[in-house]
Amino acid sequence: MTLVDWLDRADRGLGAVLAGRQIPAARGAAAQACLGLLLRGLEAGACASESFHRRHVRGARARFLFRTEDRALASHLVLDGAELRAGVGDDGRPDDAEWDVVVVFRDASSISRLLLSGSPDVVLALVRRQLRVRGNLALLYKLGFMLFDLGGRLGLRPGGAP
Amino acid sequence: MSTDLLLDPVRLGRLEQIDLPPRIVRLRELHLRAVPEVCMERPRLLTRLARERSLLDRTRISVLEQARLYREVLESREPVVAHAAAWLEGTGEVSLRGEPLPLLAGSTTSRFKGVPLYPEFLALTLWPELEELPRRRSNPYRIRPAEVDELNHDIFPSWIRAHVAEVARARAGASLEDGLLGHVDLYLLSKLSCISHTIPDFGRVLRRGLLDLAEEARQRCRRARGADRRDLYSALEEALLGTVAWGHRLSAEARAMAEREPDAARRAGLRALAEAHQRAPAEPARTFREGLTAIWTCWNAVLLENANYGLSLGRLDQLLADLYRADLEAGRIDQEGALELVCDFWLKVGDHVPGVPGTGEAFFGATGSNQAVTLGGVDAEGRCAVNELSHLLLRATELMRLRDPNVNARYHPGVNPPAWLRRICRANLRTGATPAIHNDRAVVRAMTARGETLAQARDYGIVGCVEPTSAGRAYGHSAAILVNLVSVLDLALFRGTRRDGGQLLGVDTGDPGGFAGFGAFREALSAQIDWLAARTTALNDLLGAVHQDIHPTPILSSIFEGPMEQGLDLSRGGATINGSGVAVVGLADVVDSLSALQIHVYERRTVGFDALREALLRDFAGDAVLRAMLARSPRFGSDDPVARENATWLLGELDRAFGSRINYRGGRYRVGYWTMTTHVGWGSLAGALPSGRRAGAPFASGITPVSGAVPCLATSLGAMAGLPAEAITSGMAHNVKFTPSSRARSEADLAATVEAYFDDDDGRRNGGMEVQFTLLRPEAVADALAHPERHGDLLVRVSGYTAYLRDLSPAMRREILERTAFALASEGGEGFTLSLGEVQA
Amino acid sequence: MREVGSPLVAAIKRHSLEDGPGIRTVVFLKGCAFRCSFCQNPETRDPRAEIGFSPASCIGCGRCVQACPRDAASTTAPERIDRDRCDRCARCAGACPSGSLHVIGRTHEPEALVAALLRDRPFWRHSGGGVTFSGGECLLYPRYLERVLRLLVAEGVHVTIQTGGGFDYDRCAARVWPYVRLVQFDVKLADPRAHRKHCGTDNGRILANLRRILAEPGLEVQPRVPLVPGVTDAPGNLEAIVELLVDAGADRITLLPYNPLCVRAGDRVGLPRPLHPERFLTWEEEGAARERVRRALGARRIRTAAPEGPAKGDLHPRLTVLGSTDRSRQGA
Ligand code: SF4
Ligand code: SF4
Repeated sequence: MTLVDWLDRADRGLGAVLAGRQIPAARGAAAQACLGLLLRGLEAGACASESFHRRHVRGARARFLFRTEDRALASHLVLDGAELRAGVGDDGRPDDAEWDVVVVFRDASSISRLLLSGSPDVVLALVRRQLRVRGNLALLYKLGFMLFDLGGRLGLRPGGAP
Repeated sequence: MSTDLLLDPVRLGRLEQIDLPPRIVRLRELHLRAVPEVCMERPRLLTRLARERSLLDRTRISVLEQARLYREVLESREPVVAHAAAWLEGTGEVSLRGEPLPLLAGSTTSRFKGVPLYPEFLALTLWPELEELPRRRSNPYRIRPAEVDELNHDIFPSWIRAHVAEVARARAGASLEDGLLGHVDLYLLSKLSCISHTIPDFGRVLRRGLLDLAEEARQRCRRARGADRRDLYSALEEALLGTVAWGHRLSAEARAMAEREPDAARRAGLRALAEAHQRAPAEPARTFREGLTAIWTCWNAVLLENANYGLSLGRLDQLLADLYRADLEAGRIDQEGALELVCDFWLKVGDHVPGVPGTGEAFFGATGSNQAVTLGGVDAEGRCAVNELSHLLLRATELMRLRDPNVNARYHPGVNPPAWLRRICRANLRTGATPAIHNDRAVVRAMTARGETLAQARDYGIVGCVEPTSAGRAYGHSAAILVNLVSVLDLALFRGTRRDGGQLLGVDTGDPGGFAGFGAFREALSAQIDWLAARTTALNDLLGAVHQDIHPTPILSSIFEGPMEQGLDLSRGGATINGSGVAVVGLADVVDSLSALQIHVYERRTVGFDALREALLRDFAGDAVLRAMLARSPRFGSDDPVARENATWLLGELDRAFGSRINYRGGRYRVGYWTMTTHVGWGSLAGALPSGRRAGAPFASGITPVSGAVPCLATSLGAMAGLPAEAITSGMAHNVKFTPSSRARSEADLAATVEAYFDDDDGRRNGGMEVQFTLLRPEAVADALAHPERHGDLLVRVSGYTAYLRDLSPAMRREILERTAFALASEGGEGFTLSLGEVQA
Repeated sequence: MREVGSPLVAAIKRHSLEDGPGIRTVVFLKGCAFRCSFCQNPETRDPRAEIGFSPASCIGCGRCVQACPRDAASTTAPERIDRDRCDRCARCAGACPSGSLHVIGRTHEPEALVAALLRDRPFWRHSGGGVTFSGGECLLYPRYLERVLRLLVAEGVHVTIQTGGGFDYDRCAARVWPYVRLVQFDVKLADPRAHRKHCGTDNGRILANLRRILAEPGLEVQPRVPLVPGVTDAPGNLEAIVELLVDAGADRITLLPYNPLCVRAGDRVGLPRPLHPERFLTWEEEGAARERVRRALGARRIRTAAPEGPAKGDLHPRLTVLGSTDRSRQGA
């Protein structure tokens, strides 16, 4: 339940950002690029907007790793209480235990299938084991809220920026 | 006692004439139009106090610490006598000044219709959609931007590591972690969202009052051995005094308002409120009003401790009968006055809605809190317990037509008068959806099979959807685990993996294509069921242990039979009767699939297993002939011996697999068959089945046969009446949809049909255990769908509970509309007869 | 008419609310002497088994075509079977995977039939119901009925017979009446020519049987007139029937609302559709017929009309006014 809840929410943000009209170039791009782009977007949002930073970054501590089952692809996102950092790769920490949350995609295609479909069906992705999640889900919920906010600020969803 | 005032048929007849007073009509309208608003009071207070007491990073919180915390919240909450404002659909915020005063003060939240948040449980799941809450399509909640910020900044972050799901995950270890959160297609674990699925012991509250109970706790504490016990007794005392304080604060507030009130009538109303709340629940209740006041005040306290998922009120017609009778005899109240109080109470009970994230809708669509009320049946000695109050509460229910409370009627064939069953049927015809009807004989048999004494079993009330629970003494958490039985069948079909392969999940039971016969397939399914039972009960026990450590429940324990006597918190097994419940979803689809496999794969060998498996994976594309053949296999709900045998076997297996296990509180697991809207949610995810069901179609609801499979009502009821009651120990929801006719006979026909279904046919069968009706006129539904705004209160029966049609997802609406409809009268009718006789002048 | 062996049972309808008192289980036997154009169950006319076709469940697989030795089945024909070529060998039904093609009419030994019927005992017990034999003309089979009824009555079951009146009176009086509690006797047309036109035969035997049965002591008889627009409500017919019934000593008359399902009822067995209206009568139209019956009764100086609506506390009043207030049927 809880997992589904989050993913459905979170990926409205994800899906909106990546499948959105604003970045058509992302369509068809490599899954890694998608994910990287998304996280870069967050990073940019956090740097560029004081209010975004205040709202989501300041005081928040969490370490997210996104990777494929075979670890061929990986990206990470770190909130260290003051800053948001995102990057490609596992930041030199291959052990899942070093991360608060690890989102594991079955393979590269399941990343792009999920992120690039117009309305990502996360429940199906879960059932089909296209991804699984380990770690503290509350942090994912928080990330979901950030993504949702980012989508709004980029004008990617109705309602727009708050 | 035929002289009992409450059994006077003339008085019962008079009840039928009573209508809603204008005051209630107005309050009901406000209630139906009100948009739920997120309430910040509880999360704010709780977070602040827990932080001050450094409870947030603790791995163990004692019951006494918990009780003190709650007491302080009860002493800090704003006492609400009457809400100042409400947010109405289409209008926005309106002032309620000048609106009718309620007859009960107090509220679950600070809002007129509030969404209470429980960050220690599942509130954090709302985090991603906080800003979207007011705009989301299904069940929007109002929330202010500043409240979003406060939750995002202050409240939610405090609970990231302190809420039950995370504490459990951190303890689970690698093998269980995945199971805790990752198998949503197989099962749902509801201890993530609290245990309120029970009935408090309001009998002791009304008889003794909380101060007397607190005194008992104090005495016992003095004599108790061991720090844990002393802690528990002190905690009970704290909890009881906290609840008393809440009542007194409501009373004081009402008195203060009375002093400021210029209008004499309102002033008198406020004084009466002040008086009732001063007395109840601190002292024993003396009047009907004090009785309701006491229950309502305790309800507020219990819901401070636990989120409301099916916290149930029990047998109100029994609890309050003596008080009502005394009032009548003393001339303090009349039927109109009592009905009005009950209507107020009904509205109060629905003053909050559970905070459900968007995707939760697929599984628990449009549900309220499912607060069950139970009416009628027999008393502990087996005598008829139906009285005027049973009728009065039923009358209030049909007049109010509300989603909450979820009213359930008990009928004991041969003991309760047939007029009671006819009255229940009339309420169903009038509301189209409520109350559900339970057969005392079958239910008591099922409960005693699980170890309840006869007296305990007879004193059952319904919890949540349909689960019979010995009232006030059984802590059963009947919704602890929800199981998708279809996915378990998949494990047997696909050697312990999901359909698309992937890692081994259940047990590798081998390739069904190589099985010698159907018996081997059953063994494979049995092994998967065992795996699932072991897995889910282990997870439930893990979550239960987390509850014991960080979420003891002193308030509920303080008004329950057992904790006081045994010196143990409910979470640790303090209740007189303990258990956990498993709700199994998809029974009919799996039984039908078994029968199809038996006949076509293993007996007649009309299709090889590999070919069947391929067809399932293709969702029968190009396999219309095969699918048509499979669909004509014996169906669950028919007289066919193959179907009956498979059903009996499967019910027995599930009962064995779960019922043989003891939970973390020392109680046994029980199995029930009700689905809320999970049969649509899970159905939408499931692939094609050997029964011929296509991928994505809803499963049959509750324990109901698959829609269309058994078009004959008598056949279906007869088969359902033959199910083994002793294997169905946690209730069942059997949905029967009728197209009603306006013919005068409908009520009698319906009653005779229920009576026949409940009949044990002179011991040849068990007799049906439960039935719930959907009585929809197709035109009414069509109109409601076309003009939802005109039909805000159109109730429909989902599975176990009722919901407003407008709140349901399109898929769920379709499921209800597509259920097999039986005619209560054929179009022709019986004809028009004129007498030719009696010709003499 | 000779009774040979066991008749075929076309269907058993369970939980019927309008075929006699209480909740009924209705057994439809095949075979009937009449050919009424407004027949509700035309598949029961022919005493032999026949092949039914329900297009809704047909998946168009063509198995029937392959199975048919006489080239009578075709997936392009909407009615699926060319009845002129078909010799009812039923091979197509055996091959049909969906049950779309099926055999109508099965024999049931009396013991087996009774065992199947007794499953419904709880419904009868609580509603004052029982078993109703219908058809077709069930009274074509007094010998079979006797064997079945004896078993049923031994179990205390209330038995109702529905008849169109085309039966051998003496045989039925000897074998059937002793077990029967209620006979619902359909009287459609008073005029013999009209009867020949709409029902295919003269009505002399029906009326003679009606007179005799109404005089039968201890047998409850309920004469029923199905309302068929342009047929049974033709000028004078209702009045003539009232006249006839009063004359014969009937104590009541029941008007059965017109049921337009008769128009398509024969589709399943390939019978042509009769030209009757495809809608229910309105409340007013039915009211007009009722009024005619009342007036005819008035002319006979009959004092009492039935009380309207069920008597209090009586689950199954004998005299009820059951009209078409049910709006849902208008849309059906
Ligand atoms: S019953 Fe025999 S002859 Fe008639 S259509 Fe079927 S297969 Fe052909
Ligand atoms: S065999 Fe049956 S399903 Fe197939 S075409 Fe013929 S009637 Fe239709």
